[in-house]
Amino acid sequence: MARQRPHKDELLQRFTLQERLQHWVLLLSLTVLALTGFALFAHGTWIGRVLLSLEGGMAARGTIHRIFAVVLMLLAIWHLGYALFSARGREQLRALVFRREDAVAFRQLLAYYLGKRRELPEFGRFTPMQKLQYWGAGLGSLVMIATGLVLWFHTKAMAVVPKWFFDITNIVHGYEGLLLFGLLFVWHVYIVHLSPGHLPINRAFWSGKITAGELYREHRLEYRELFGDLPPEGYEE
Amino acid sequence: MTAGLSHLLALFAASEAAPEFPRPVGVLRLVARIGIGAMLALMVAYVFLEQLAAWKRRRGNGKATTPQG
Repeated sequence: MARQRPHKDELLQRFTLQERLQHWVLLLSLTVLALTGFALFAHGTWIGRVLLSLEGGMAARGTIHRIFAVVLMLLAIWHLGYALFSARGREQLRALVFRREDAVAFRQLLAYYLGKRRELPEFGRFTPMQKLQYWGAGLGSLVMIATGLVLWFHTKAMAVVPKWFFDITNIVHGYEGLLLFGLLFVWHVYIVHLSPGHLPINRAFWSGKITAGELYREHRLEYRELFGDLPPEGYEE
Repeated sequence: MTAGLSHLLALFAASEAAPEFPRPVGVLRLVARIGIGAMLALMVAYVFLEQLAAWKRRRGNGKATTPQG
């Protein structure tokens, strides 16, 4: 049964405390990993040298990188446990699975951006872009952890895999890291905080809440499931 | 696909034996750079389209909203 129709400014809980904590740990670990990783990746450039000196040299950089790699691994275990073994986590994971409707909605969104459609398409709990970011960051982090472990324990790894495997791992780790950086620190930050309607900041990452008006505009299918077809009180297109 | 992969792996193995022969690591690095360049270009194109739509909408009714991603 649909809940009572909310006012457009009423705050609705979207992310739980545990989900926000996972996001904060991911943000912290990936930021440090990106800074310490890029220092090695671009050690021959001026920015690489500046980062290396700020991080206390090559040895200290490696230690910091490994400490936060462990943080990322623990987070991966925490998140997998949450997503697979809690009711709320499973529900979120199901909502994040790509469906045929996502491709349709994305095409409609592009048509809207190109001026060939008047209305925004209707999205469910997660938009196709949010799903892309989640799976990109999640699978990308798993690739980084797997390749990072080979590089960390390179002496042991070299005893069982040929050198070319090690070379590939090295390239994949470096460039996948760059891709992850682009996905999260450029695209994700732009879409969540800097895009029209959200600039200068979207507070959902802090409070876990969005207004009923935002829910109606950006996740209309989810809004309808919760409150029915009528828009929030006071809402104007 | 499998034959192509086997060929690539053979190239890697050959480069180990004679590093001056082909440079598959360099090729892989180039492919990675092209791939990342393409991804960045897509991101920039998305931002451009969204900003363009928002600008047109602002001109139309004074509001600019886009779906959060």
